[in-house]
Amino acid sequence: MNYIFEDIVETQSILLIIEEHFEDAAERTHMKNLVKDTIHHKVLDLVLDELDAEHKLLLLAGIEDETQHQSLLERLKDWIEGFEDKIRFRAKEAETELIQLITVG
Amino acid sequence: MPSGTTSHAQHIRKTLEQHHTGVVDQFYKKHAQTLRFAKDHSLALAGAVILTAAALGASHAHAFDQTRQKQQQETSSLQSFMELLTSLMASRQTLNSAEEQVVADALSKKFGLKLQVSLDGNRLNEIFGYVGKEQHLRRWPGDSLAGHDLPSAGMAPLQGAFKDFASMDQEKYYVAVQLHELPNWNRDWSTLKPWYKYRKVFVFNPVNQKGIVAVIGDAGPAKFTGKTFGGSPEVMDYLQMKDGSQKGKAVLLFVDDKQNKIALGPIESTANYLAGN
Repeated sequence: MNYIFEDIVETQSILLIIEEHFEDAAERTHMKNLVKDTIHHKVLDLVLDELDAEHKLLLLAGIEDETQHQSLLERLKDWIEGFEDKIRFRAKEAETELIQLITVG
Repeated sequence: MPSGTTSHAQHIRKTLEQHHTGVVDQFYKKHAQTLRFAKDHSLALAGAVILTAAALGASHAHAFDQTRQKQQQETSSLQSFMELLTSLMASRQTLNSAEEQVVADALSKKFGLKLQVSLDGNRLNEIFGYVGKEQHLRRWPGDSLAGHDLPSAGMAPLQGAFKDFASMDQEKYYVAVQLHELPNWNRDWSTLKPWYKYRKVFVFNPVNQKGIVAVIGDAGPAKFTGKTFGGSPEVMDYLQMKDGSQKGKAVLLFVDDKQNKIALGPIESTANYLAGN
């Protein structure tokens, strides 16, 4: 499954840490998916906060259909000023938080 | 546990799993109403998305006129969304708060107005319900039916709840709402009454998508009638709404018009205006 914002946000650092620590391929995949899902929810939270009620519903209706992703992203650029910068920043924040969590303690 | 997984890896896994659960829980709690609405109407919404996606795809082939294309996309999106809302409202007795907000946002966009479910902390007992046809109201002492359009509607024997109207248009485009059903009416009526007096509202008929700006000009109808609002003869005539067995439902929202610039009466959809430019 591809997340809608996956191709815009950059979260390689946390994924490299996962690569480094998990030798088993299945477990690595599970952990990467967990990270992607966490970041996806953080980014989606920001996006929903930026949209009015109608646009929220139009986004949610198509978000799980990968064939709709490109057109939804185009519309999000129209609906939210500085859309790409905002979601990149939120994803980076979420990634930094994850790295801090696993390196502290 | 797979071989080769270190204790630090175990710590990472446990930490990330717990954090993921927290993030997802928080997300679903925060956006519960929107997510529930989207789930309940997923098929209809998906239809709206496909329609708007088609409009968007078409625009890519004509990049030379992007501004106009964008306006048309928005119009197409809005129109498909309005059709969705119309079918939703036809099947519902009441709207939940998420649905109310969706309707208010969509109608604000469609008519270029700032429409609110609640304003200054005030909200009606319902924003969606059957509308009864009211008679004309006496605008001031000595007023007679002869001075009104649509005289066949008759005239109520008494003045409205707010007594004299400040203008002819206020009576022409008035609605009655159930002020007496507001939960805080008995306690706060002395402050609520002046706030609601001739408060500007927008009335929308989902069946034909006509909208009109009116004022709250009277209290009523009684709950036992099964109706939620009353409309002046002119309001009912414009919205093509009937009473009795053919009665229909309307949406009624506050118009946020602090500078008092919005005229009373029928209002055209701004979406059509965009499409024509």
